[in-house]
Amino acid sequence: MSELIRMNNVSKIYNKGKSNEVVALDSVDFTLERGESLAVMGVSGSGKSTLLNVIGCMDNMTSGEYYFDGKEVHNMNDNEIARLRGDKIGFVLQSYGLLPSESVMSNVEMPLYFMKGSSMKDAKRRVYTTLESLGIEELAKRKVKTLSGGQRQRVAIARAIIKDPDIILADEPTGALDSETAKNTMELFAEIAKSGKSVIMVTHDVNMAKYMNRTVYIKDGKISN
Amino acid sequence: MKKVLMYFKKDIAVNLFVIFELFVVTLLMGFIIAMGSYGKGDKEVVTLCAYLGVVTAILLVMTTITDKVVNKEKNRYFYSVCFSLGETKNSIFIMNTVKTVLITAVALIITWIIVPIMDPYGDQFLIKNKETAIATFIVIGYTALLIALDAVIIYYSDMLKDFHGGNDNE
Repeated sequence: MSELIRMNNVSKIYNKGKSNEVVALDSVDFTLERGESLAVMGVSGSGKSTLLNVIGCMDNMTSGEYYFDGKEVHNMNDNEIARLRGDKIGFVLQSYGLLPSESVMSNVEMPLYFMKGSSMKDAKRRVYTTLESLGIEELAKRKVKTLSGGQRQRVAIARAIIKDPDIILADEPTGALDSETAKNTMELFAEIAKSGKSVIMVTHDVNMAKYMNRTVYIKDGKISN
Repeated sequence: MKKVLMYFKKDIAVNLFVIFELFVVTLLMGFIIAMGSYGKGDKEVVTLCAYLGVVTAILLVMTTITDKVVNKEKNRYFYSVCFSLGETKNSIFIMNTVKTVLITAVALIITWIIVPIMDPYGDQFLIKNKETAIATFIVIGYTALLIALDAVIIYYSDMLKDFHGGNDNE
């Protein structure tokens, strides 16, 4: 396995220099191999979501070095970071992050609008292939707001994987699901990891963490294995 | 184009309403300017112009509220989703600006089609092209204001917070 992510001495400080300064990540050193699945556990406010956001290039780090597939993310401009976020990273959230009034098709197709060189004819085919791979092709024309929590999460996963990213980042993906649906969703993540994609999942549920290869704990912005 | 359509489609009812409001505003402005020009010194005309001016102002405020306040959370959530899928804030702003310009253009085109029908004989008391042109420039200026408001919303939004806020906003 080759290294996909390396973080050296990464810190994230909110409101730096102000009276309400918060150190969310404190000199974090972290690596993730390609194809590895990882659970990040910690109590609320420990910095686990911040770590995920920095890894996912949704948030900038305050200091440190971040390498994604050997590329220096800490030296990238906004456009390069956006391209990395769009092409290489897929997000799955507890709150799904979908557009409820749009169809499943439109939601899953959406990342392809932001992808250079993607034809719309090809897009439809890709959407159907992706939905089929998750067993939800019959939902293609349904509006997201008419779906159950489990179905919405599958749609969110479909949207995350449609661009064939190197890594899936999931922030409490089973937090809003019942135990049976959560188990099915985790099995899906385990399958995705087996297919060679890296997965990082933030969770506070030890039963969900078991589906990942490795677990790290984060406390006061510091990581421990 | 598909991307611009997506930005337009997400709030199609609101966008159609804004087009309608801008169309009415342009017509009213043209009418006020025409009345004001031809009825100088006529108290009744001045009073009518003042009333119509108030109605126009209310419509413009309504347009802003509809487009930017009522939909603020919804828009920010949408921008955040786009951001997470690989859009830059610059690209979101550009797409949104194209959408706003298209909305204004549609409203103005409708106005310019309607005006000749309303004033086929060049009647002084109906809206004439010159007055409509002045109104058009005023509406374009107003559109620039809407775009500036968008810039504030997009560039000063915490995309992360909005994105993680969940889709209850939609």
